[in-house]
Amino acid sequence: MTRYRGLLAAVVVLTLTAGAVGWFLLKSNPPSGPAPAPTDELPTGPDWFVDVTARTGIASTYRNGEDAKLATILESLGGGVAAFDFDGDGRLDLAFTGGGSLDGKMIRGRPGKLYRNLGDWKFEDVTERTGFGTATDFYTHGFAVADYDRDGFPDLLVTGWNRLALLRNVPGRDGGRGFVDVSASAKLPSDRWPTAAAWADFDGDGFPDLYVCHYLDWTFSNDPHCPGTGERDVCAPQRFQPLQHRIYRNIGNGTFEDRTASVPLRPDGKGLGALITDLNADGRPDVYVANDASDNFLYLNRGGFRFEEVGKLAGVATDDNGLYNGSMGVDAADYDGTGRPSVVVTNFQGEIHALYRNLDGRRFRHVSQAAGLGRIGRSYVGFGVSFADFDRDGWEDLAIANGHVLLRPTGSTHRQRPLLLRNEEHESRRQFREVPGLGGEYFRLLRPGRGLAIADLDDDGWPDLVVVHQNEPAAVLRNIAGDSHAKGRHWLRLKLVGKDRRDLVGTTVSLEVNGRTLTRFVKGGGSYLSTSDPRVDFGLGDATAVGKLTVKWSHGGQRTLQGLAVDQEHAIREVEPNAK
Amino acid sequence: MARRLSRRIVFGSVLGAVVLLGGLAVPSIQRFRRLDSIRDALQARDLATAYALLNDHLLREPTDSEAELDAARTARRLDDFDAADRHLKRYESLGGSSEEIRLERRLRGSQAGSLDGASGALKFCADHPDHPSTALMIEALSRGFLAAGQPVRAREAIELWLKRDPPVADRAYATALRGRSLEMQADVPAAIADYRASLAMDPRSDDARFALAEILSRESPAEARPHYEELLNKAYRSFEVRLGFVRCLRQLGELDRAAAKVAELKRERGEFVPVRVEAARIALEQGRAADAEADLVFALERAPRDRDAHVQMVRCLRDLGREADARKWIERLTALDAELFRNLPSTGTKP
Repeated sequence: MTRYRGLLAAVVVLTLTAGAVGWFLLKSNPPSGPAPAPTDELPTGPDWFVDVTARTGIASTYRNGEDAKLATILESLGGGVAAFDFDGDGRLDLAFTGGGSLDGKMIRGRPGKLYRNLGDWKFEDVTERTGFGTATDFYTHGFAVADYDRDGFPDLLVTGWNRLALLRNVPGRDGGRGFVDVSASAKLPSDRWPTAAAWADFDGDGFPDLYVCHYLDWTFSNDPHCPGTGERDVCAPQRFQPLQHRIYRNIGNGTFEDRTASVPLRPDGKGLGALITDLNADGRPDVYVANDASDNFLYLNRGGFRFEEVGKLAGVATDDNGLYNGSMGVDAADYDGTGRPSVVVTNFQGEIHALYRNLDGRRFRHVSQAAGLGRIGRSYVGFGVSFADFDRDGWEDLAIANGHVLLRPTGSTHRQRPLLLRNEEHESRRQFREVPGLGGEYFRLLRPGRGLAIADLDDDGWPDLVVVHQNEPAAVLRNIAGDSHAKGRHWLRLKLVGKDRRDLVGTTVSLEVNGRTLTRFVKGGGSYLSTSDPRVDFGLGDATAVGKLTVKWSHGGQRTLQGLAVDQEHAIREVEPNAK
Repeated sequence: MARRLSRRIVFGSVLGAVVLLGGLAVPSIQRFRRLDSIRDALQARDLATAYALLNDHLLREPTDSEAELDAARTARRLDDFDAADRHLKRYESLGGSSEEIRLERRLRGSQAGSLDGASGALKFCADHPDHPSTALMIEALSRGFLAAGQPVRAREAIELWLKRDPPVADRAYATALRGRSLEMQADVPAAIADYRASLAMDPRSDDARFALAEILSRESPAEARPHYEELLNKAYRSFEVRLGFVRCLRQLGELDRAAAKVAELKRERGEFVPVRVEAARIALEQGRAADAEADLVFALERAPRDRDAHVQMVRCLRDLGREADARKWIERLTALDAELFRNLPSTGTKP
């Protein structure tokens, strides 16, 4: 019996074992998932920029009033910076807008800051001494700089909520310079919502005229509740109606005349960015306007203060899908060696930052993908943008300040990484690629970026950067690319002086170097709510000598020069038309 | 001797009984294993495998009516409505429940976007979350609302589905469907988040991977590329994936490679309008406007109301310097946009 038990036990054990093995074999087909996909293309390499804010003494923070937790669209715009030599000492000084605060339904101002450049990366706060603080004590956004009265000192136009302030640069108390608000006497109305502005002499009388973007019809009495992800968040611009932009003619006697109706300007743009330069090579400055959630505008200057809006036909109003974008910042440069200015526009999340390649001055092609801008994706909300040849290789690179307007965005973040894009050749054409190592620590971290200006603050020939943030200190970034991979490259810089100090926006400068012709453009406005270094700047690569320099002055005439010394700044004065 | 003989007889009998029992049990064990495999495949939402196993089972047991019903359901869920009909008819001939047949026919209609009585069905599902048919009904309704271009109602159904805490594979699928509804409502970031979540739950889901790749090819093409490459390796929906990959390459600015690949697609299916429009887009990016025009003329002959082809034609004519022609196409595009806007279905309230 025991033996039978043993046999039975063996049968049972065998059956169970076979079953278990079978069961295991049946079940042993575990899912094999793929390796996680790389989520970014982050190369490594030397720093291009180092943050020197702390050593400069600059401590400027733009406040938008978000601590009131009202989540108004007013808070989304942010502020800007102006790089300009206000005291004529040859060094670029820096002005920052201060923004403001929201107290119940009161919009209060917060003075901006003005810093005088003392050299060696030291700046002195001259806000109070110059009257700048008092003059900017309203809810401010941005700047546009020009010598509107042609007295040899740059004046400041300051935009903000319900206010447009023209600050005239006047002799100060202590032998220095100061600012006086002359908006009322200049007949510049303070109303609605001026945002970006740009100066240029549209009619050839020498005095800079003015284009002012207005945004939309938000007020506290038109402030819908827009639910975000959970709590209230900033409303989309589509919830509001656009405000009429304005164009003013500088009469030359200190006053301005509103020419909006006679031009006439289009009424349907929610303007946030304005750039003026000669886009069609006719010698007259044209106006490009970046609008939020509506078509962008291109006003070609037809002379005699007449303009023709051709954005759609020229191919710069929409993206490559024929759709308008939420556009903010704008700049233009000859990025591909054609001698023509192409236009870059920063856009909202879900859109691509647009690069419109200038085909012949009348036609543009949306080439963001061909130019590599598609690679960065569509999670960014771009604001400040500027071309500059940061590594002095003779090709214009790009810097972009990003930051979301929503407090709690989906699929992105409120703070976003700024972008530094190098102009490189791929597939036999110019393309932008993120700089190896992302250019330094500043470009590796997330920021609430807004205004951005390019300025060689230490006059070492390498363009530096200043970036304004929402509710965080502005950053001053020193260009140190020349210490590493770009060592030994050369540069040349021009300070153009118009006849009788006339405004020179629309002037085009070309320089022959090593068989190439580099072309630069004198611009009004640009970037976002900011003003960059007014000088004309060339990176020369390894060239130690240059050929012919040609300056085609706006409104006629040109001047040529040969063999300018490199690694120097040259002052070029305008002479009579047709003179050589 | 007699004892020894008796022992041998007993031993032989036991062995014989074991062999006999084993012989009798094998078909049952095999059947059990087959049905278990089918259950596993359905549980894992591997519908193709489940359907193949069901067919195999039905070859062995052609009178298994329940298996016919399962095969009909599975074929329907695979969008093979002809096969679903065949199985349902066999189920009917085997004396299957008329109630189940009615339900299955209604589910087929719903899934295809015929949504008569969908509101009532959805209410039934909400009121009876534990009813055995609820899961199938919600799935069919979710897909049907999407097929009918009703993303808001689709999302309502999907949320109901997810609330029932379905098995992980169904949860992954439902999350991908919600991503699709969000994409249809132009909430791209939320759609991406759902596709990502779906793929994390079920990394084998090629549908979710393809949906994610397609949306990322616009939003973050560098991230889309490896998803396309994996799908290409698997030869999953080869033509669509290759076309998507071409678009991804264009977004990445790799135009030479994109042009070579779109030329291959044109050789294979040159009559397919999206391929011609994509070929035109790449040609435009490369500055070959004349080539682009030929593709666009072809595309617009076959699809005269294709918006993308209109947009690219405007760009093309502008590039060619034919301003008057470009103006005409801008007017056509404006009219088309106005019409599309008028006919735009409501996708919910604006934020």
